[in-house]
Amino acid sequence: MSSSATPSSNYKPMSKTWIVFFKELKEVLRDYRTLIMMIIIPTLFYPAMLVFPATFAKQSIARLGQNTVSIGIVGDCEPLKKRLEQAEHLKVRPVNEADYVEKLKSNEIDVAILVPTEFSAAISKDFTTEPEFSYLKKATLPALKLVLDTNREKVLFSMASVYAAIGEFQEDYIKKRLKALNVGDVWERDTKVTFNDVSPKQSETDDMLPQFAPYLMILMVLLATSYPAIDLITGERQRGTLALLLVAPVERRSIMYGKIMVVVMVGALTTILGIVSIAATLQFGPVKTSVVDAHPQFDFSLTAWLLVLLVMSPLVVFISSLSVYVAAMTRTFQQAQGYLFPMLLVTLFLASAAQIPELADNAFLRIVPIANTTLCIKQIITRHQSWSGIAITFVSSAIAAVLLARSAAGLLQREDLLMGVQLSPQKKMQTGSYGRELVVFGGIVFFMLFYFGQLLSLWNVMASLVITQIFLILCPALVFLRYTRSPVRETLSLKRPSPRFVLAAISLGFATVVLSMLILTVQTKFLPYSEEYAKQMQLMVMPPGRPLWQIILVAALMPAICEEFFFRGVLQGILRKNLPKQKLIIVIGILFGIFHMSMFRIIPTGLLGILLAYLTLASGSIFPSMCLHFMHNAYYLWASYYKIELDSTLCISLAFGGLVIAGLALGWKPAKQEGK
Amino acid sequence: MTVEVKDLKKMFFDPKRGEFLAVDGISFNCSQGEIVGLLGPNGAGKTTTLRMIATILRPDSGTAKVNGFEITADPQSVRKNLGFLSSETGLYERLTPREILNYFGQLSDYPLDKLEQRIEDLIKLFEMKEFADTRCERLSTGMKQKVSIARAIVHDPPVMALDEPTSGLDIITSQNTYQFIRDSKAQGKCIIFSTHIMSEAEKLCDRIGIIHRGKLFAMGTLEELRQLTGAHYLEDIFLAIVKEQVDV
Repeated sequence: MSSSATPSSNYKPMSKTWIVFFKELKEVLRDYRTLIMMIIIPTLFYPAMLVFPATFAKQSIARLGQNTVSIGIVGDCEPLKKRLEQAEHLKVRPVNEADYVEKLKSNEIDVAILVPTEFSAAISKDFTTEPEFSYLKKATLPALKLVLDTNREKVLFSMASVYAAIGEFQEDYIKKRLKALNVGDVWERDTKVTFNDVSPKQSETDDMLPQFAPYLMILMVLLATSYPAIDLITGERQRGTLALLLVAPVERRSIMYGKIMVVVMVGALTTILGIVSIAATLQFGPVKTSVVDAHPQFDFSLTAWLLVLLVMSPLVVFISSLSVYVAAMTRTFQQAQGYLFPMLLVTLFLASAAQIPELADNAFLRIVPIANTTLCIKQIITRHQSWSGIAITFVSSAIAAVLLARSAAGLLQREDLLMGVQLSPQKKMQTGSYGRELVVFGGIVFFMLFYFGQLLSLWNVMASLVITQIFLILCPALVFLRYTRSPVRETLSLKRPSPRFVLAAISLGFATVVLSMLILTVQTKFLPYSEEYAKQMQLMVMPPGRPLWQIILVAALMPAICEEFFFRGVLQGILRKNLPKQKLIIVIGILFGIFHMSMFRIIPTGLLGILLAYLTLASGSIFPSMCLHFMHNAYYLWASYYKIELDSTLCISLAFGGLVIAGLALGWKPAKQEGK
Repeated sequence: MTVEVKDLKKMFFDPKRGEFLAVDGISFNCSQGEIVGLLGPNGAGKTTTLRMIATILRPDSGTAKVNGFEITADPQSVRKNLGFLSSETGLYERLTPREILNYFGQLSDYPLDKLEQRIEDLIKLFEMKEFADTRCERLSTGMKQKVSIARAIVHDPPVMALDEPTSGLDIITSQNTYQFIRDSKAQGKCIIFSTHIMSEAEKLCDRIGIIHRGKLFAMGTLEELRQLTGAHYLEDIFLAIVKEQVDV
């Protein structure tokens, strides 16, 4: 008998990942559905989406513009009447003040032009005898009033001929008069400049392309990657081939990485084909004149498209990993398709954040995947991009993509997902297997804070702080605690702390504020922020006209209780079951930094979060971190309220003293008492 | 012993039943050239036991060794030494049998220079030449079963875990599977075989283990089980053992 038992030291994980990759690629390329989404849709459908509506609208408007418009002139102005009669596609019908409304209703005429007596008078006036010399005043004609039924599309689209004829009439009149004054050239030159600068038709807000293009890109990747992800993971499970892989001598992570790589490849190819075909359509297609040439303020150059591709590349990995993650959570195709719709909604929701001007200005948006990329693509197309913006978008998306890919790769380790093995709530708590629930919970709280928190703060700063702390932070934390049926005292670390930790926490409060300011000062050299932002931040925590005690109550005491319950209580209490101590402290710190939703505050608040997490873990109690959090906020508010500079000798001395006392308190371990 | 199973336990949770032991302290062993059958009704714990031996699931407690390798300490070596076949396992529909054998041969670290020859030998052995390069989606159930068996042994493992391999198959395809199991025994392989079909167990197994509600109630040759219960047919033996144990 032959025994193929080879020693496991020969095992090379990377080579196995490639074996899985090539096999999956072969399968994907043999699936016509993936090929359609990957090749046909981006090369034909997306450009067609740009070409057809634009071409169709253009032709339709042109066709409608050919219609003859019946005009009734109410009032006496023979030169205007003659001019309109000469114009193409216009027919002047006799009307008077008494019957023009009836005739409009019965469609006998399409437009009524009401000529005021001043207009007729201005035309027939001999302006050269006027005493003052103000050529523009003399040359300008009083306004005409047009009456029409705006529900009639035919009339609306044909109005161009009416405006053109009236405009030409006015222009001729003005030119003639300016010529008589010998200032015709001056007027023409001035008008041209003014016209080019302020006309709303040239403004970027009027065109949908910069808004639409990023959506299209993200939708394209999401639709292209979701099917292969479901097919390669959910499909494998449903067809019963996953078990074959699980009994083959290959690491489960290698299997997942092989699959993620194929999905990323599909997403990347779709993006490249999509961008190339859209760029080619805009450059050489029938919409070149109406889209590219008509909007010189948009950048459709090769460099712009390459930049779009650059910022899209980490997002492709992110969305592919997201698709794989979602697919790994589902057991059947139907279930996976059910998950796809909410995923699409969340993705488009994030993409839409960049379109809201108030949110687009928020620096935090730069590090939110999907939202930052849509914003970046929009800015590239409208020539508003900055290199630092592109770099931050790329790096933050890449970090998010790597984290998500790693997380997705670990899902094959989970028996509940693999074989439908359910864990009891007690066991889930023991093993800390609440990853899925935590992601959903964190996502909901994050979105609520991001949207409702910002909206509330626009309404009333103090009220928004109270509502946010109680209803968006404390309540969700307690609901989650109840949902997981976690033991309250143990999870929240509700234990009487050793006095030395309380002393350390209180004295550290004097140091952390000064250290945060130092970090911000150094950081500003690399990541400067505007004065407007600093002012907004100040207003957020220090609403004017409020007494100090109220501000400390709302902006120091409440966060110290509510945020500590959320981060050091529920999150840390649940995550400590499945994360080693060092990782746990860092993860809690990073989450705490991100939670403050400002790119500029991530580092100082993240470091403070790490310190708070350490204090809770070291003391076994949540109260020292509450003390430090309170001291940090209250001290900062006090200093701001009395306009005391944090780099003054007093503050630096207090910080130094605080550090020394905290060091002594934390370093001093009374062996006997500790045991008790 | 090629397979040694000691006190394996696995707890599952069901919202209606709460926590329960799907496998409750099962121990047995299996040597070279031996077929051990695990006989029990649906939900008895046979599949979970085999999945733990095959390293798909991790036991809550207990241990098992496959060809000397422990399932939790060195799962990769266990997988190299094990061929797994189940009625629930499928095939890649868009790949051909040759491609599937090549894929699993490579994943199992079968020497690359010998893999092509190995695949040819298997194609010849299971008479798959006509459809070796046809995509699996176009194959009949019988053809697919041949591919599945060939896939399970492409890396020539000394131990086989077969989980109800004939479930849902017609009589001719089932016969082919029986023949394969007998041939494997003749080659000296160690085979653990789960089934709920009494006749299958009677025909194929050297020793039979009676499993019910996660527990292994008895293990022995057919003759030993007859002596233990006084019944002749396996069906009566099974009922006698299960009834006696459950009543207690």
